[in-house]
Amino acid sequence: MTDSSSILPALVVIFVPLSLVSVGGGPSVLAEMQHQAVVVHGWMTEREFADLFAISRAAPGPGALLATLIGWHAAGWTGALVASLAFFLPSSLLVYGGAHVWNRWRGTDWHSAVETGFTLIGAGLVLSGAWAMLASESVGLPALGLVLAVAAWRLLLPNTQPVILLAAGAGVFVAWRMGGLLPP
Amino acid sequence: MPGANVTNLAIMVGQRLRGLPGALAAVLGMLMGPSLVVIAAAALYREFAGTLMVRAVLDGTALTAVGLLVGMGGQSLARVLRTSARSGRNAAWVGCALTVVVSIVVLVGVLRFPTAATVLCLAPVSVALAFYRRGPADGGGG
Repeated sequence: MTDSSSILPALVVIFVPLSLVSVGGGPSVLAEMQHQAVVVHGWMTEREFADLFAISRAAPGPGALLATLIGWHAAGWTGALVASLAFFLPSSLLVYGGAHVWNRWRGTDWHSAVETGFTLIGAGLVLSGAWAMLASESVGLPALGLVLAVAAWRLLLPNTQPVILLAAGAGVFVAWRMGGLLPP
Repeated sequence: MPGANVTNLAIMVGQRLRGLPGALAAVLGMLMGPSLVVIAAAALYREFAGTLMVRAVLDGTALTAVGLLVGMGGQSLARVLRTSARSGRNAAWVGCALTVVVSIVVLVGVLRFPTAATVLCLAPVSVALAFYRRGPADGGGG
């Protein structure tokens, strides 16, 4: 455990670069957040990280608030504030300064190439986050089945509200475990 | 554009309506309330994390959320490949696109390379591939 005078700078160093490469939204930097918070800095266990991830996904607001939660868990309210600023400010400034310039080029060949190129990067990053979460837990076959079923649902019926899927998936899992079909 | 999508949208709308103060108000409004809610939820979790029921709910939510991520990533990839197919792109491009995605998963997800450095290295490759597949149909897409 480190004291907060070293945690706060660490939060800035972790989150500022991640903010600028979080193409496709917050979940694209999930793998690195987990690695830094659990392995590099030891602020929490893998299980606690998975719990904060679950909370950030189920609560209203952007899932990227996971950054806020990591800061809060590591260094209380100051940590929450520092992590939030470090993660939301850089990308916000970029969007504020760049979005209208960027949109002016819409329709050109290179605009669409950049968009496609970064969509692929974003897809790879989001899948990396999923991989990191699954690799860190001892996921059994039924649990993996749940993950794949939810993924398939999301792909085939993309208009379903995420909150509804989240509640349904969690409900099924709770029923399994409380019914004794899954080990605790 | 990097950053959370709803936050970015809020900034763009706020900026268009009221300039800098608008963007600032929009992003703060989008983050302040939810961040307090999410911290309150995490504080509650600390109190009750020990119970079996809470354990099951959190595990189930985390797994479902991971499933949603897999679906999201798959959907982005499918969208790129579908538009490619419509405009008659070749199999080489599909291979390139899949290679980019798989490389990232291996580097960032499995080997835990730093995300920022990996993106800085692979983004130019990915964009260049996307650019060249747009050229004349029988251009030099090796």
